[in-house]
Amino acid sequence: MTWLWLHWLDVRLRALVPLATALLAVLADVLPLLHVGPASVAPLATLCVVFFWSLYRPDLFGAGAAFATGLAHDALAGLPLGLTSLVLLLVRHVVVIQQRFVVARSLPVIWCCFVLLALAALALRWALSCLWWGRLFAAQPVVFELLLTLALYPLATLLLAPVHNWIPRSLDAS
Amino acid sequence: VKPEHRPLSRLALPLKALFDRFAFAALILISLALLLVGKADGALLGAVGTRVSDAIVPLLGAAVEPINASRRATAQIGELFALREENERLRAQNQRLLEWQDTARQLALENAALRQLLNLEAGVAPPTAVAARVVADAGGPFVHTVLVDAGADQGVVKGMAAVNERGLVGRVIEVGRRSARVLVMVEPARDQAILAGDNSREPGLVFLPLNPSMAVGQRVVTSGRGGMLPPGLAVGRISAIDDDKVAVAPVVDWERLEYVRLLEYGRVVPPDTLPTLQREVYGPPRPPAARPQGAAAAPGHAGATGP
Repeated sequence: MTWLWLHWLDVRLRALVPLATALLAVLADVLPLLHVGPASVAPLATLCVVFFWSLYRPDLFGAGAAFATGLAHDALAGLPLGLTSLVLLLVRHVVVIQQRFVVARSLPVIWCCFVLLALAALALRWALSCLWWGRLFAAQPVVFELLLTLALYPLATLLLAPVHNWIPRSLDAS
Repeated sequence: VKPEHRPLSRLALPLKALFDRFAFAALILISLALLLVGKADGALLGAVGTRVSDAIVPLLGAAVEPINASRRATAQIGELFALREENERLRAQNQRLLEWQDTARQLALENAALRQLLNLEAGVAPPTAVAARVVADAGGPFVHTVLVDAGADQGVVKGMAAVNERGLVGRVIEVGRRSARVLVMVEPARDQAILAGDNSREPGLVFLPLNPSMAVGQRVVTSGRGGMLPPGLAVGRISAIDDDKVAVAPVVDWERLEYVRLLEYGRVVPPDTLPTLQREVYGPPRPPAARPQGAAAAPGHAGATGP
C-alpha cells in the first residue's frame, strides 16, 4: 500500500517536471547568464522550453502551465503582465494543433518549424509591446533576439531530451 | 491510438479536451484583460509585480553570485594576457589623475573660500546612497530594466538615480519591500536637452536648443534641473550627430553591471531616520575647509570626511 502510494507520488511529481523546467528557463532569461553583445540582448530560453514540452508532452504542459510561465517571465523581466503569457499560450496552441504532423520528424525539420513559430511569436510580442507602450521599438534587437533563440533551440533540445525520457510515458499511476 | 479498455478513461479524455479548449480561451482573455488593466492602472498590477520580485529576490541573489564570479574569473584570465599593457595604461592614467587631484583640491578650496565670501551655505547637500546588487537583468529588445536587491526596507524610494562607478545607470521606477526595479538610462541630461531612451544602446538627445554647439566626443552629464538627478553625473559621450538624432554612448559598461548605488536627491529626510536606514554620504570627499561651521556629520553618516 505504502509502495503504491509512493509510486503515485513519484509519477505525479515527475508530471510537474515540464512546468519546473519552464520556470527554470524563466530564471535563465532574467539572470545575466546568456547576454550577448553590447545590446544586452539574450535568447528567449522560455520560448524554446515551451515549444519543446508543447510538442512532446502537451498532456503535462497544459495551457495553464504556459500561462503561468509567461506570467512569471513578465513579472520578473518587468514587462507588462500578460504580454509573454499571451504569446506563449498561442505558441502552445499552434504546436498542439500541428503536433501529430511534426512530432515524429527529425530535429532539423522540427527546428525549421521552430524557426517559423519563433519568428511569429517574437513579431507578435514586438507588435504587442509597440501597442502597449505606444511607440515604435527598433526591430533590430528583436531580430538579434530571434537569431539567438533559434541558435539556442538545439541546445535546449539536447538538455531536455533526457528529462523527457525520464518522465513516464503514461500518467497512469495505478 | 491504442484501444482504451477502461471506461473511466474513455469518458475522461473528451472531457479533458473540452476543459483544455475552454482553459485556452479563458486564459487568452485573462492575458488580454491583464494587459488592458496594466495599461489603464499601472500601479495595480505593478504591486503584483513587486510582490513577485520581493519573493524571488533572495533566490536570484543566490543564483547571480556564481554567475558574477565566473564572469569575473573569465575576465581575469583575459586580463592576464594583457598585464603589461594594462600596467602601462594605468600608470599613465594615474599620472593624469594625480594632476587632476591637485586641480580638484585647489578648486574645492577656492570654492569654499568664495562661498564663505558670499556667505553662502554649503550649497546642495550631497545625496545619500543605498548600495544594491543587480540580481536580474532580463535585457530584452523593449524597455530595459534591471532588478536590484534593495527596496523600501533599505530606504529606496521611487525616482532615485542609479549610478555605478562609471556614471549614470538609470532611475528607480518601482519599489518593493526588498527589491526595486531600475529603468536603465532614459532620463534627462544636461545642456538644455533631454536624453530620451529607445531600445538601442545609444539613446538620443531631444529638445535641443536651436543652434546646439555640439561635437562628437563631448561629454554628457546630468544637469540637476528638474530636481530628479544630482548634477554632474557622467552619462556618456556624444557618439554621432545626424539630422534626426544626437546619439549618446553611455559610459556604463552594460556587460559588467553587478552593483549600483541608488542616490537620493532633493528629498528631505528627518535626520533621526538616517542612522536606521544605514545610509552613507555619496560624493567626493570634501576638504575640511569646505565643511561649514555647525554642520557636523550625523552619527549615521560615513565617508564624508576627506583629506
